[in-house]
Amino acid sequence: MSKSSRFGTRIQRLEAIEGYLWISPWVIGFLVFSLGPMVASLYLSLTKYKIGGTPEWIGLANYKEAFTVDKLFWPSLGRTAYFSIASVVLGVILSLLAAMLLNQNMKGRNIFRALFYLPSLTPIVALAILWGWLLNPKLGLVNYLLSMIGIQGPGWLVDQTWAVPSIILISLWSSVGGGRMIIFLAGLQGVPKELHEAAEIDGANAYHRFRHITIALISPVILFNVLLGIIGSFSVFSVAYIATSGGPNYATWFFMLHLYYNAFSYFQMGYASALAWIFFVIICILSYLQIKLSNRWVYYEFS
Amino acid sequence: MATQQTMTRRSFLRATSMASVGLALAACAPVPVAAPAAGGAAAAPSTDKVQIRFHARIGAQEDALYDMQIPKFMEAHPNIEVVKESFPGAEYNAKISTMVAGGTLGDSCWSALGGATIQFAWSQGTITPVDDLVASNNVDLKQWYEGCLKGITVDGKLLGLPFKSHPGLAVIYYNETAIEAAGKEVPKAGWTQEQQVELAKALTTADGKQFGYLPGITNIWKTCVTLLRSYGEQLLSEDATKFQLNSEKGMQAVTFLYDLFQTHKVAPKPDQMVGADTEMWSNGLLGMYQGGTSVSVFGKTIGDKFKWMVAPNAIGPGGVGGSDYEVDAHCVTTATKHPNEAFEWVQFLCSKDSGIQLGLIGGTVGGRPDVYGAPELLKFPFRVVFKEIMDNAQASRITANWRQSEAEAALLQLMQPLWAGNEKPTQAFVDGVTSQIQDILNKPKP
Repeated sequence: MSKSSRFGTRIQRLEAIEGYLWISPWVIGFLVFSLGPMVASLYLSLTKYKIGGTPEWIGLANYKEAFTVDKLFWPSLGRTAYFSIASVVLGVILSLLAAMLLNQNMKGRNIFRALFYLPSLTPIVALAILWGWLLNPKLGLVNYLLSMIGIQGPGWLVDQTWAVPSIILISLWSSVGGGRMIIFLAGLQGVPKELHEAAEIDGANAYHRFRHITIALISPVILFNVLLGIIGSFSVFSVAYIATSGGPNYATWFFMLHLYYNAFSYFQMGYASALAWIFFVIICILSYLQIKLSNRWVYYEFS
Repeated sequence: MATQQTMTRRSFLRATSMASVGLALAACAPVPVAAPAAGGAAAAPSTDKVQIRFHARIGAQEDALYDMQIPKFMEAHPNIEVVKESFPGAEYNAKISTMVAGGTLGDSCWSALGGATIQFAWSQGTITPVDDLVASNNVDLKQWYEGCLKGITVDGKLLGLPFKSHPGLAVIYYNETAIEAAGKEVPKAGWTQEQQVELAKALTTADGKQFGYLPGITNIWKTCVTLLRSYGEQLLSEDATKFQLNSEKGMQAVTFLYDLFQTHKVAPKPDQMVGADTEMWSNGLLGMYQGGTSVSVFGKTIGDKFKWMVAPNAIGPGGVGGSDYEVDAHCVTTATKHPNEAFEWVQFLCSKDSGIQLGLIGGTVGGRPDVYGAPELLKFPFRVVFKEIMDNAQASRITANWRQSEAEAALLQLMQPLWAGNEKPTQAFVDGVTSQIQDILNKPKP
């Protein structure tokens, strides 16, 4: 028998050490590549720093500048919120609809599932370039198709009014059939058929079954998708950076673009770090509020 | 037993967490950069073979030149090995900054006046002045255009040698085939903006398939620099602290630009663009196109689709067409332990031979009169025009606080409503634009 001590038996100690060794690559990676830079950026956000040289401590001046001086800060935040609300609401609804369609017993279901999923695999740069051409006001396929039904299409990405809706459209195309739909599909397959059958016997119509059984039972999945959607959509960057560079006239100058340009074009690393922390706090608050409010509408079967 | 295990886990986690956080913070701490030295002339030349790591911006022409010149240089300098590390243009500054932070910067690097890149590199402590190296190597600075040298002299210190240079957006590329078809005369030096507008109208087709003239609005700052000069005005005040777009002459210049799009309708509005502006030019969709000398590389893409030639900017009310020295430089870094060898390589890249080879590869050439005037290059007729413009190019002016990139990016966004027709060039509108750019100019240096 192994000799026991205040650290457990020898076997227990060895097992514990082995366990820590197994998880240590992740833990060390997290500490070095995630937590370390985060702590460093928190410090840098309180300094004037341009890479090279010593950061100069300026206290909360960067935060003050963001909230009171920077004329692009609030508009970029508002624009991002608009994009986020529109793309998450539409994206969640459309993904759910797609998942419901693909949850039906029909011929070629697997092929349809693959076809719906394919757009989400398109690399973001290719996606931006592809849609840049599709939405070209003069030669693009979208305006050509609209012209065939007598509609003169807008300028899309080059039109101040239509630029954000265009980015929403591109974002939806690539995300509706992606991971979100797969998660919904998994959620839908977990809804017991017996509940639907029982409700049907009790006289519930399709809408009522959907509203009170399906939606209720997949509400945790909806919450999960909404949470991830908000975080992801607030980080909107690549398509706007590639397709419009934030234009025209700042119409697609989202918060992450603002952060990126300050960091990597103007090299205001201290200020950009402050923006990153403001962004982090906003995301935390939004996530907290959603989880708090979820008590009112999310149903946990086994809670 | 369970308590004992919990204690073990806690102790272990506490120890590893503290060690890892310490490591992480140490890894994230900025590496102090050596203060810019007053040149490396004091360092004795190495007798052993040394390696020079040089950083360049990736560009088809430039990379071809580097690959051509590195073996030649190493053959002439057997004690020096040159290793090229080039990065995409859009990420170049970020990459260099990262190397500065990580303490892995090489020995020499590309830089440029554009976007105040060289000023920023100086303020960041990336590059060192070469005045002492110039003196100790008896380098004759008259080899290069004076305007180029002034462009890369900051705080009274020469920060590198001019590698390539051009006179800004001072060149009008024209489709000779289209002009002949329209029965018009091709533009010549001394032509006026009125003549340019008339020609643009003649080259604009009713079916919208060809536009008469596209000014360089994708780089509206540079367009405004040359255009305002053609009106006898400067975009920036002499001390480069004041933005002057809303001056009386500035307003006239902006109105001229606006009219091209909205009144004369000779320039394609954003929703009439088919691909990038250079794509429109090389596909024959533009009668005239304003660009720098680098646009000449599209001659290969054009092939025999149409005949093309160049003319200087049309003369405006100010009596000139407007121009602006643009300079790329190669510099010696503060990190180098071999400043003399690094400077040898810099000199080689900025030599007459390299400048001419650049031109033969295509595009912009070395910033030297003997390159612009080299017979090998002047056999290309368009380069004769380039030489005339370059010989009379006007001095550059960079925002005094070096926030050039920020100001240029803002102006690009703010002027877009004019080309789209969402705004008119009213005093109120231009005042608003001016005020926002002035806010950037009022900020302290980075």
